[in-house]
Amino acid sequence: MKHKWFRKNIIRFIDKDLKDKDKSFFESHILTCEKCKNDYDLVNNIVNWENNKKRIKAPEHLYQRIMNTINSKDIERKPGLPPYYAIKYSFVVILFLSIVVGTIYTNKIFSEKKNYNISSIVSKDYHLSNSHLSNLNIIVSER
Amino acid sequence: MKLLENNKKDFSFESIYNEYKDIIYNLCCRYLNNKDEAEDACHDIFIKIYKSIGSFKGESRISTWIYRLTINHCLNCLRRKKIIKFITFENFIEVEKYDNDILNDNFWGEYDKTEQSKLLHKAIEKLPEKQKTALILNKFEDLSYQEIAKVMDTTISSVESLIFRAKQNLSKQLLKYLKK
Repeated sequence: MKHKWFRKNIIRFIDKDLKDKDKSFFESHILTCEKCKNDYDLVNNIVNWENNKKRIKAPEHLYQRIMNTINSKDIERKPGLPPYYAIKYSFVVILFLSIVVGTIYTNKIFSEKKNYNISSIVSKDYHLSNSHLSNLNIIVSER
Repeated sequence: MKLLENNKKDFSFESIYNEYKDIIYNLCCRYLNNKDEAEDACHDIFIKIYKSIGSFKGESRISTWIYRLTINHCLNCLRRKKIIKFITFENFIEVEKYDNDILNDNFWGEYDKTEQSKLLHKAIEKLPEKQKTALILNKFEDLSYQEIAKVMDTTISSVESLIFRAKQNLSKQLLKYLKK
């Protein structure tokens, strides 16, 4: 287990990322385990970040190539919002509109139902005459 | 040269090109590992920059925006390459050859003749996408954890954990190659 841990953390040791306790274990293990020491030497020989930092220059003709594409295709620059925001905001607008339309529609249904209930229930269940019914409507409306 | 207008600043395309051409080209090389593909990717990235600089809000630094654009483009290129390889059955033929032949000249071999350097880049190539991105930005581009977090649109602690795992995997990968 400790050999496995050692091998996994060689680069972290090289980069000085290990905590003091792990670092001292690492250092003492190198002295006692021949195999792990060989592994450490191999990796240490390869991992040299500074040597690999050097930059390659971009090709000279690249700028001309880019400008040729821009001029030949007459590429238009996108003004304002990128597509992600357009999709996001259109979704919000659609959601808002559907809530408003839905609320209006359900209100309409319930108000129709309410009217139907008052007139039909009273006339059906109590067999009131038209004059009584109109009097009742007046009382309800006054309240 | 026309000025590319932004809400807060004016960026000329030429000045952006001069400042970032080498950074973008090198990042493309590190991801794609091929000279011609890196040049094509670089060309496409600059066209994207030209087209969408108007939508750059200026909330983050322009370098962060350019790094993000470059990395996303390179990752898309790599994914496309994988799909094409899968469709054309190249995988089945080449995977074993590729693994056994890691010391063959690759793109970096042309510029850096040391076997160590080639091996290191081959091992980095094998890392998972996010770990590779975090490690490249930290070790080769010298970005801080905070800057990497902004580029990758994540938290500093997750960048720390990505780099932690990247280094562990890189150690394992290198030892695997060295013992072959």
